[in-house]
Amino acid sequence: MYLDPGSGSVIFQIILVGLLGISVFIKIFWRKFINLFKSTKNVSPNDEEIKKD
Amino acid sequence: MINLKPSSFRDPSGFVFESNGEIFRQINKVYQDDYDYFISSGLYDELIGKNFLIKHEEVSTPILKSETAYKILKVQRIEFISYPYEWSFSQLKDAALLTLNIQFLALNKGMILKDASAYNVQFFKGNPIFIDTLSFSKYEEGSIWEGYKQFCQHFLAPLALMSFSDIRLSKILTNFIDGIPLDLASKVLPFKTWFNYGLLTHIHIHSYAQNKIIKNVGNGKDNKKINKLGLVGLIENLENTIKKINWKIKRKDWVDYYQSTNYSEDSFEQKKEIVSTLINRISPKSILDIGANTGIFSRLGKRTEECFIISVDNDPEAVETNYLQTKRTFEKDLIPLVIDIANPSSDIGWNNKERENFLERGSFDLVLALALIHHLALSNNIPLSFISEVLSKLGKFIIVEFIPKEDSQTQKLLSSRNDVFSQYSLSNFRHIFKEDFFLLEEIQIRNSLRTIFLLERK
Repeated sequence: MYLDPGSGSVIFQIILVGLLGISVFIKIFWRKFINLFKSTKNVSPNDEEIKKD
Repeated sequence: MINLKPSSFRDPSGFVFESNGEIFRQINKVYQDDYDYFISSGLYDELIGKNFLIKHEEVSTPILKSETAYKILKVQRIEFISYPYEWSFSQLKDAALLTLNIQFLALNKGMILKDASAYNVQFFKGNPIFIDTLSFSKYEEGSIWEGYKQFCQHFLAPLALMSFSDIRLSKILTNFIDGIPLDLASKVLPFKTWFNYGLLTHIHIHSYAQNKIIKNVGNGKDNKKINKLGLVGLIENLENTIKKINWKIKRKDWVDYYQSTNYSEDSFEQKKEIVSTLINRISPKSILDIGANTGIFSRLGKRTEECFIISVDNDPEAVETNYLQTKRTFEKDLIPLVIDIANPSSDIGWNNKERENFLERGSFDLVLALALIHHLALSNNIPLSFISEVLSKLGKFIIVEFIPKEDSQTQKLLSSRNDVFSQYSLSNFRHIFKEDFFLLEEIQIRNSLRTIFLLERK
């Protein structure tokens, strides 16, 4: 680490990321849920891979 | 002859130096693992394939003898270095989106951008491109993004200020080399930005957290584990926030502006012909167009092969229009920049050497100074001899337009002030510029009082 990420920024990032993580989790879950009803041709998105909308 | 670049000293992973006109980057042993992983993970190839990163090749013979060195890279040379405070709104926005895109790709390959400096982006062959090969480190599960604060300061805060407060605020980046402090941005931004989710979070609350949490909670070093999904969420959220910040050009009639305010269409076309002929005669490899407006005359230089053009103006709207055109038509050889030639960017940073001033950053085969001299001389009170001196420093050949006091445009400039410019005349212009230049050509534009000169530096 050569940058100072800033104590306040780090704590804020931890809180923010916790909240955003929930929304990304819901998004992935929702995609999977939608895919259940789509034709089998659609490959469900891989959780490990980061997909961009 | 080896010159260490005074802009690359903060990161202990390595540094940049110049030798015989070529650019090299030393990678220090401390960065060995990260660099090897950067190459073996395929991230380097992917970024090169997408034209997101500057190319390099490893050099086998050591150019610099150093015990800390792991490898030496020869890096592709950027024709002209520019800085964030010289970019138009969309240039800074594109650089921000590039940085976030690279972060997504890095995370996919198990790496992370450790910083987010806007100075890591340059404009090259028509696109923003990332130039810092040493910005990537191995991602460890749970680690935070150390560049988050820097990203907000370097990109988000200036873009928000430009969009919601005033476009000219990009220039305060010259006073804050590590980006605009978030508490400053939070104070200056209008109240309505508190209702913009992204700006509320990443600027207003973020700045509050910086000032308050630090006092109450103390050090953030100890427990800094975060979830990767959340980190992706953070990057996505920043991307959405940036994408939604826009700035609209109010004046849409730039082409009209040329034709209706300056002179007749016939004279305008003839001026283009004259300039075009003179450019072809010089066949320059590099052109600097000062007071370029939207770049109509800069683009006349494109007829010559392999010529790159820097097209500068002090009006952010004109430069934005110019940049959007380069994007629309996939131009590879023209970089528009916001520069006020009466007060060009100065040397800033540590020892006043970290970011170089504009006038000494490059020398050009040809400089265009069209419809410029009267603004400098009559609006800024700059003596003709001073103008001649600066132009002679910038380029070998100069195409310059002289507009006498009798012209309607100069009359407009003088209408609200005393005419204290007894020296401002065509004969005096010739006399003064002959001190620094050989006069190669003098052509009067038809149906106008204007004269175009081709000059060569003595």
